[in-house]
Amino acid sequence: MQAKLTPTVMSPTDHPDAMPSSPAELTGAFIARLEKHQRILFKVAYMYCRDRDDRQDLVQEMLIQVWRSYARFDERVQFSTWMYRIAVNVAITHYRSEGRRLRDTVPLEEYGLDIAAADALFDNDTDNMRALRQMINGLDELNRALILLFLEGFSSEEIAEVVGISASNVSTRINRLKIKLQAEFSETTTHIEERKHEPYTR
Amino acid sequence: MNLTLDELQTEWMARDRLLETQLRMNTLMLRENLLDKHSAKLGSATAGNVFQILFTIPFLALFGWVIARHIDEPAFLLPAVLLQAWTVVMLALSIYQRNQLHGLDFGRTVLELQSQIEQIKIARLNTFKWAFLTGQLLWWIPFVLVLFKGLLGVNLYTSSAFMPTFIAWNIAFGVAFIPFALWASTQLAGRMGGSSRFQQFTDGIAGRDVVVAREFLGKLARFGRETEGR
Repeated sequence: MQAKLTPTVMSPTDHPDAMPSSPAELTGAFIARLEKHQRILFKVAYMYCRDRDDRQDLVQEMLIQVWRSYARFDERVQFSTWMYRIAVNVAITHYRSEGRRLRDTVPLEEYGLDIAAADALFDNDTDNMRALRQMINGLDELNRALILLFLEGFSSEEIAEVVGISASNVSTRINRLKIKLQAEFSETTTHIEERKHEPYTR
Repeated sequence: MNLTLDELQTEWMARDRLLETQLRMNTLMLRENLLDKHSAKLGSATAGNVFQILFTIPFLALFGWVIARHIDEPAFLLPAVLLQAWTVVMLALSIYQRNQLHGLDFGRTVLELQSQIEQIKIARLNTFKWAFLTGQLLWWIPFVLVLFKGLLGVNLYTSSAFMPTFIAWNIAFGVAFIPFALWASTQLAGRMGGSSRFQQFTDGIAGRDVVVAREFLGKLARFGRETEGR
């Protein structure tokens, strides 16, 4: 069964013809759109990075890339779809070059993003969400993107638009992942339940 | 417990709504620390290209001058032409690849962009590998011969009785170095766990990174193909 939820509704800033012309208008429109969709960056980062510092680097890299690419943004595409493409592309590139990266980064808070609030929320995830994340960690970079977009409520057609494969291919792959993850899920939740009842030994 | 992914999706969406209400953004800080510093225009490769061209000009001028002055002396013409050709080709490749990297559109679909990145990566790795290997040969004896003749007017071939033998041995060593370096890097690739930079270097020369990039390209192609059955 495909999700019928639509992750984002077209806002005035998503409207075709809304691309501003002057630099000040461009910046203003960008901030408005980013404020509305900023959580995409955190969610994609959480999908690809377990380490907190690394995640901060990744969100920062996504943010810079979204801004640098903004002049190329095609108004015929929904801003959220375009932002998912950038975020997933940056995350996969980051994921594939992990361990060979040495770069000074600015604390994300200095860019005005509230990573502490996002961290707090993700740290307090329910057991189900933790088990889900653990299973997702076992997937490769491309399947992670599919699962993320599925969980976000995108239809096969919308996922296809982000990933660049056919909608039928998306449906087939999602169905396979559902079966695979479902089989692993009961096992993972059992482990989490068992660990909760283990005495603290260190 | 036996929850389905569709049920987990509901929980995921609930957390998403919570995230939406809890996240705050300091737009002033964003404007000051990000937007004003990083241009919204496409990342320009111009600065890097200009620096590289300026750095290369003295060498091109030297080699060009030696070519023009010694057009009928193959002993100087040949090394100067080889060095000039090497420098021009490497400069052109470097600028081309830098422009490709800076021109990447991250807003393209995941498969399109990731394929493009891997193709650029393969081209850059191959360029680095052959620049290093051929550079060992060209940027020692041929360069010293051209440099001494071009800048000081000294003919190293005749400067001492020992020089012709020294030159011949060094050129022979430089030629032999290419297959040896290829062999040695394949032996060392993946074995230098304690030194990541050296590991990266040997992997690059051995073509190991190219293999990894090609494998990922293959994976992307398979991912893009329709899958059979459900």
